[in-house]
Amino acid sequence: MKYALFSGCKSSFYLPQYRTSSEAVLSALGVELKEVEFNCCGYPLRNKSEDAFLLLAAKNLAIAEQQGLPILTLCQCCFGSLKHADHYLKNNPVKREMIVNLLKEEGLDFKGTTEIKHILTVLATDIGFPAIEKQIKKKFKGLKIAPHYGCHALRPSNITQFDNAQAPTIFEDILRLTGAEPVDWSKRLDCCGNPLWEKNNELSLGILKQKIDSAREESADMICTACNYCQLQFDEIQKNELGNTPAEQSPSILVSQLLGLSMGLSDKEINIEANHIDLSGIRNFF
Amino acid sequence: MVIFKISFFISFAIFAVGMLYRFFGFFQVAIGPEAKSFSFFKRVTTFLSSLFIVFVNPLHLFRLCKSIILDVVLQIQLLRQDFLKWCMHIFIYCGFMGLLLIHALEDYISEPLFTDYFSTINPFMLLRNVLGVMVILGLVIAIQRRRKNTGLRLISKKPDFMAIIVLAVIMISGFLLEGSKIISAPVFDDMIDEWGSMLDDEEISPLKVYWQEEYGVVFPKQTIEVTPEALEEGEIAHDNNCGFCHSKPVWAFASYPISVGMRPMAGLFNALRMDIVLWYVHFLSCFIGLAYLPFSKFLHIITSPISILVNGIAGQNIKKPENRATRRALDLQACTHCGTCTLHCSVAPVYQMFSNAYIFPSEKLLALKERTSGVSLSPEIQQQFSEGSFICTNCNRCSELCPAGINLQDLWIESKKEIAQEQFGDPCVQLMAVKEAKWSQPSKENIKIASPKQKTDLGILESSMQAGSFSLCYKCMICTTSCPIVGIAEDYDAIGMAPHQIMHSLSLGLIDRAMDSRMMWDCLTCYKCQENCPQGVQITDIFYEIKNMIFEKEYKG
Repeated sequence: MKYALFSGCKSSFYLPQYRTSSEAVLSALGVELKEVEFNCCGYPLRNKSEDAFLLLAAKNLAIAEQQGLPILTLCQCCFGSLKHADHYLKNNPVKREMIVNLLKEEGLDFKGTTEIKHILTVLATDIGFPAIEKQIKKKFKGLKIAPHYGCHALRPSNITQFDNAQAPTIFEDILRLTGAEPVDWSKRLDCCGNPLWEKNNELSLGILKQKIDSAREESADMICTACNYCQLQFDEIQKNELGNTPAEQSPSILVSQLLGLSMGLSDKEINIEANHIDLSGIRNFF
Repeated sequence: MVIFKISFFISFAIFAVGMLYRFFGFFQVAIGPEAKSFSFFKRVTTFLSSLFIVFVNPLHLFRLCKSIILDVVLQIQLLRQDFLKWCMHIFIYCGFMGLLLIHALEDYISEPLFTDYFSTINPFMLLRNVLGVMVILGLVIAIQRRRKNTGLRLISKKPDFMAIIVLAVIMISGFLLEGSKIISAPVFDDMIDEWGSMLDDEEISPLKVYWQEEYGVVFPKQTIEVTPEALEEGEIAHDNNCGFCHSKPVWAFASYPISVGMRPMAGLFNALRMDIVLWYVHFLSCFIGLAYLPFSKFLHIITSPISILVNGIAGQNIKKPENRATRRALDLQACTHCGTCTLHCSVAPVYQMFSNAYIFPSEKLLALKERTSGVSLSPEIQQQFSEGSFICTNCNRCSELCPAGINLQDLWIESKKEIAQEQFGDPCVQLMAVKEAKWSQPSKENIKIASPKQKTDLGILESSMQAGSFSLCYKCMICTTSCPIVGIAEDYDAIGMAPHQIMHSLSLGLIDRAMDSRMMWDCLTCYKCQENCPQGVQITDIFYEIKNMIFEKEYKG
């Protein structure tokens, strides 16, 4: 299994641990990742210009096409953005022609053959649970986790085709492999609030607080994410902005970090020290 | 010589004042709100104390030495990225430094160091040609890259070409000068006057024969009879009087062919004393370069090594905020405008849509430099700079790749904080503020239900693939009941209109009403409304499209 890794703009500087832990987990599971110089997925441009968004996204798809590799994204917003662009271009000949002409100037082409996959799908479907189970060295006991699905992978489901948008199970299924107990929380499928961060902070934090409260109501020890933006919101922004004391916080772990811990991978790659909210207590659950 | 000295002192004075101005700037220029609170004195003392720590900490010293060799001298970063560009840098860097030390500063370096140093004997004469040709090759690569590479062609500006031109004039005038001296009869005569006191008058004419045949001197209007005897006599005179200081000119492998080319015009050149004219051109261009250095991209000769070393020691983790502020000011001046950041920028393709060069990191840095130098940018440029700044996703790739070790990421983070407090902040936030003001003072006039056909905006919306679906809405309100923003808002007034109301107003042709609603900008884009809509109305996508229209009309327009 070989993919072109699409780690997303936010992972390089703000979340290097997502990248290193994912690479470690996937490599232990026999997945080969190729380093390709992609550009921005286009998601941050969607509010401003559809054409700019489509061009950025299509360029990535064209680069992957040239490499002949499917794309594996770590971020759900990148995933959603690429899926949207792929869908639009395949269904809108006018836009497609415009974008293809621009790509041609750079020696690229869009044929629409690139497969776009999020890391959760690669884990659950491409690698499969039995193969992951084999690599699990230690299982957590009594660790309650609130899986946060992430809007842009889940919806609109006709385009993203990620999981059942009303009753998804993929995240819980993966968490269970590590021995963790997924909790059912009322805000499970809701937004983390990050899209409004630095645009309307009050609202963004209000949404975040609802999520934290909901996870704590179900006595979750932590939230688990599989998206750059969601993790930034639950970790760095929660810590810096919500004003919660450590006892009131709900820490957040990346799915790759959780799997990595359970697979007994090196601390350096999992790098939970890089998370802003202290997660060191998680080892007590082994 | 008087002109030489005067022009040197003038240019050195300009250079010194310019450098002082720059050094003060490093501790004075403030980028970002936090930096403005540190005094000049505080920044200098913090810098000096940290510098002291570097020199007493063995780990830091090790990193410093490693960085000097690998990053500054060998430019490993550049070698990994682009071999041709590395060649360009190394050719110009080694060639120019070599010429500066061995040739320009010969009185202070070459002569004391080598007891038998003469500029006209090998290996020095050969070496000078090798170094000069290296610089020229480097310049040729530089010009070709800037012409051939589409990305670089877009950003190349006057200062880039000025630097190339100044350097090219220095190099070419140097070669021409050497060539003109080889053929020059007046120079030959001057040399005889100066050094030939031991020569008999009968020896001079065979010496001329020898120098004409073997050293390429051209004696116009003189008939020099070449006979084997004269040649032999000339060689003896040459060996006794000239040979110690003169290698064969053919060793000057670049200047010699130039001198051969000059031979047909030797009469004119000798009469004009072309060698003197070219000497003036050569040293004056050098001095112009020196005076121009602090104000041009040549400044990077001094600043880039410093920023590379800072990066080598501290990476992106400078702890003290005062030092971070100082580094930002230094980094601005360390940019060579080489374009690496722009060629790899994660959002650079947006330029094809927005035609705003301030999307490119290299151009943003130039604008930032201008802002901090006290030049007030025009409102249009400010607006473009702000738009470009907020398109940046802070992916950090530019900082990872910058061959000058500039921490661009920190510049972008701080400059965005600064712009956010100004008139031209984040475009989306600007538009939100406009909407907020509009919504809080609703117009008293009755809004007529417009015919959709008369509304061009609505026409665009109807014809677009994903947004045209609004007419299917039958106002069941599922979108509104599933919207987390409606859930958290105290009442509809806080958000302007609820999603179903927006769909309804679109069906009535009231697109202006929808465009003015705050809800547009408060939408989380979580797609719950769209997912749940029983009619398949692409609500979130319609919102995106309306936001795009607002951006196009009210921000860009």
